[in-house]
Amino acid sequence: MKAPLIFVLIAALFLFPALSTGEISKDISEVRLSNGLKVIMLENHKAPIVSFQVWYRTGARNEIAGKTGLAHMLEHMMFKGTEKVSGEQFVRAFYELGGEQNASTSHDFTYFFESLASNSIAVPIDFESDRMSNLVLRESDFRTERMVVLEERRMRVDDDPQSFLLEQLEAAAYQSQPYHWPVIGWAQDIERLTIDDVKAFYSRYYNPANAFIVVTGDFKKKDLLLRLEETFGKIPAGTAAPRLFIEDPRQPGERRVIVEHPAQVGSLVVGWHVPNLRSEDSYVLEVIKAILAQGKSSRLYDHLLRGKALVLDSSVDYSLTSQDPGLFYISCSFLPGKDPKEIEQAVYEELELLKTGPLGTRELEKAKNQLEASFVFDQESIESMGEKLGEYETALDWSAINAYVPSIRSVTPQDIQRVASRYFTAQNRTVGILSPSKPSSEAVPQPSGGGIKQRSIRYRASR
Amino acid sequence: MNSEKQKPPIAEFTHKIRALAMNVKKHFIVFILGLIVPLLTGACCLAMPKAEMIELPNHLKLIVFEEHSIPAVTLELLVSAGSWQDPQEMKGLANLTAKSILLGTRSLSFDEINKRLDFIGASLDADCTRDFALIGMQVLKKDLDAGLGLFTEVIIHPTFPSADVDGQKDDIIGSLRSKEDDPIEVANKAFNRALFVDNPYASPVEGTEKSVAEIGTTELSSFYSSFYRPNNSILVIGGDITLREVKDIIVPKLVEWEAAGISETPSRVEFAEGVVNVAIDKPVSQATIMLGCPAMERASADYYPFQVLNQILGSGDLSSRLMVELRIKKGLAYAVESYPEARKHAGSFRVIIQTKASSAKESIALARKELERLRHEPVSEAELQAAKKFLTGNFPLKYSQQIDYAKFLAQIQFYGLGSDYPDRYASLINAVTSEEILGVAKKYIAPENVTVIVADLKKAQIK
Repeated sequence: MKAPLIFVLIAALFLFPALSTGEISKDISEVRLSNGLKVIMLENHKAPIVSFQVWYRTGARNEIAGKTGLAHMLEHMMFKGTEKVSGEQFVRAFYELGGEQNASTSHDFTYFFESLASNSIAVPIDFESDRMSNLVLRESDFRTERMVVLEERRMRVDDDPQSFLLEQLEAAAYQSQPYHWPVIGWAQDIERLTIDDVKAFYSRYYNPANAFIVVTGDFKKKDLLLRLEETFGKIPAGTAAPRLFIEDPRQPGERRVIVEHPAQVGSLVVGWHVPNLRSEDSYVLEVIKAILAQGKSSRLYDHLLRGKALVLDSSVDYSLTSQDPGLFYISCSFLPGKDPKEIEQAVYEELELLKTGPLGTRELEKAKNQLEASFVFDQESIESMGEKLGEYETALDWSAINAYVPSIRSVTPQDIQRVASRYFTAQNRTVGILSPSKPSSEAVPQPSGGGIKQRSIRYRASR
Repeated sequence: MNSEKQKPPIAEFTHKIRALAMNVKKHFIVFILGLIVPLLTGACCLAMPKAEMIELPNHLKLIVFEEHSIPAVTLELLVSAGSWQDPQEMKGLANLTAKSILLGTRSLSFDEINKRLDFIGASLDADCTRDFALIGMQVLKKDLDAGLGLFTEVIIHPTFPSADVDGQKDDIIGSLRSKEDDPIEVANKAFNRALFVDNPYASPVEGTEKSVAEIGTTELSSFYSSFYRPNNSILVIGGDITLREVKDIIVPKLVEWEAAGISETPSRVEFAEGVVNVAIDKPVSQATIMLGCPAMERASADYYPFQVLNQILGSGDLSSRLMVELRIKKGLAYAVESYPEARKHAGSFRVIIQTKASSAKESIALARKELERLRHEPVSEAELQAAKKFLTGNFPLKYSQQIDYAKFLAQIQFYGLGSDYPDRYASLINAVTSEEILGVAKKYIAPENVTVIVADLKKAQIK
């Protein structure tokens, strides 16, 4: 071990009292390698497994017009091998360890992760450090992989009515924010990408200055850091890409998007512009999310699904760890035969209720208990804990995770009214409606016959 | 944007070729998330929490394991009451019964059950598969008493209130309708109907819109009292709890559950013979293709060589033959995999491909070529060893979460694999030879037996 380690020790952060739920903080630490690369570690020795993750602070947000989908395209190309190890050898090596590996791209980040037996942790360290700077990008691989990505887009978006609607809604709700375009990219843009685009993106963003490492699970900190220093620590830091924080100007009025798409079931998604964890209001929005949609006693389930029997399902999505402010989404699928206008109105009535009537103590307590319990359950998986730390780090700082439970606990009924009144306005919302382009009855395949073209069945007795 | 959907039980995992539906965070995964691992892969290198089994006087089998990494307890009750037990004229009865036990009890209404559950942030789900129903709870240790009270109450004293049951039926009918928007679901339904002919595995677990509408509360009560008996069930309790605590706290709540004789459901196992082609016209951009044939029952010795065979052919890993041939070499698909479904009775084997419509024929030909190759040439030693290493090495990762491990333990018991199964699994897999693989390939794989295609048939050149 030649290069000295620079230990930037973050003392255990006891930001709140010893709740059984908040205790993860004391097991988390942060170290910087000699080239400045940050390493975030969470030890958990419950089982001899470890999750190793390399996060790059880049994603679809760094793309330009006409070239959307580039960050995700590069993520795919990262599996094509380096000068030392072919893509096939790399895939095979993990496979033989019984390990799992994958990668994920969002607007804000791209990360690569491996989960495996802790005694094999050197394997992902060596490979990830290798492909951070020695990736081989071949034209022939790229051409094939671009076809794969186009298939991925067809599967995930074009043939999935809900995803298709969401993509359209976001393109309307966001204007200057990069969340305007989809992570996977517009189909014509994907077709336009070139190997040179991929090379340029790789050399600009994939370096230690633009990355951090998250390790969770069963490992020995000292050995781990030695290995990281010998591998990642040797890579020149490079230049950190400028981090822009982009926020759309205040929305001047309601926006509506109608999608006509072949579907059996119609659906509705409404998104309101809301802040992320840089604002205290984000925790209030978390509580509102639970009140509206967590569990079968939640308001949307109780009122829309059971009471008025208008919807097939309803849900709320909100993530406080986006880098720029995001949307608070309410979505539902229509119960066949119900009036979409009535459903939309019923959703708004639920939000008016939040603004006008103060929340009962027990209902507020219930929502907080649910969020706190989910926070505990989430800690069971080392992989998802790593993911959570990475998301917090991307959005602000990993240590912000320690504020979650106490911030939730401090939300008051007045906060709920204030936040609901501030954000859930008609002016601030974008409404997306999926209108099935064929009458449902026509497209339902009949039990036998119907759309079925050819059929010739003979029988064989049981084996 | 996903609505609140329950996690499918282990046996159903392999149905999903799309592991991660697009969500608001818009993560795109390079390949199928979570290498699709067959049901009941086994332990080898890493210790799993030790499980102990006791049998109560009412013949309930109770399996307990300790795992103290988070302050939570997991319960999974497996009842041998899957859709296999549906009467011929009442498809969907088992599923509706499983869902409906959560609707109300002798002392608690639906609202009361859910308010209490949500107040402690606990989850309580019921799922039905073809062979069994699973009722699961996860609860914080500090709320164990309250959670247990609810768990035992719904299991032992459900009342099937008719208004709530009607609502549940509407939900199921609505979700059957919305499944028509998912090409994989459409293909699965057609494949099962074509392959299993008149066998109980042929119809959807949920039944049909018509059959579900006709089920009454009398049938639910009667199905419940026929099958929901301690002597027909296995209860796994794991997590932050000891056997002593289980005996002291939980067992007293279970003894009032009364045993009764269970009538055997006659077994009718028959399969489509010869060549069956089903083509379903749907206005989508991709063709969803399913090729398959009958396979073995779970307890068969053929299961292990077949498991290794499938690992080599189409595990979903980037190194599997189908991935290499269709995706990596030709860019024809993002998702391609194969899997056997081995159940109580002889199940199925299928290959699933999603490709653009114009590549459908080419993809089918390539997949059939790979199936033929397995029938004619032994797998290489390198492939054999790699597959064994993956299957034996991946187990601890796959079952590192309490819920997954609990379901696994319940199924070991249900399928009669022996409580030492986790210890024996590695040797069962390691004993497999390439001759045995060739043997099971010849015995089971029929590349042209059943082929389902869901596509814009004109573009796929099927019309």
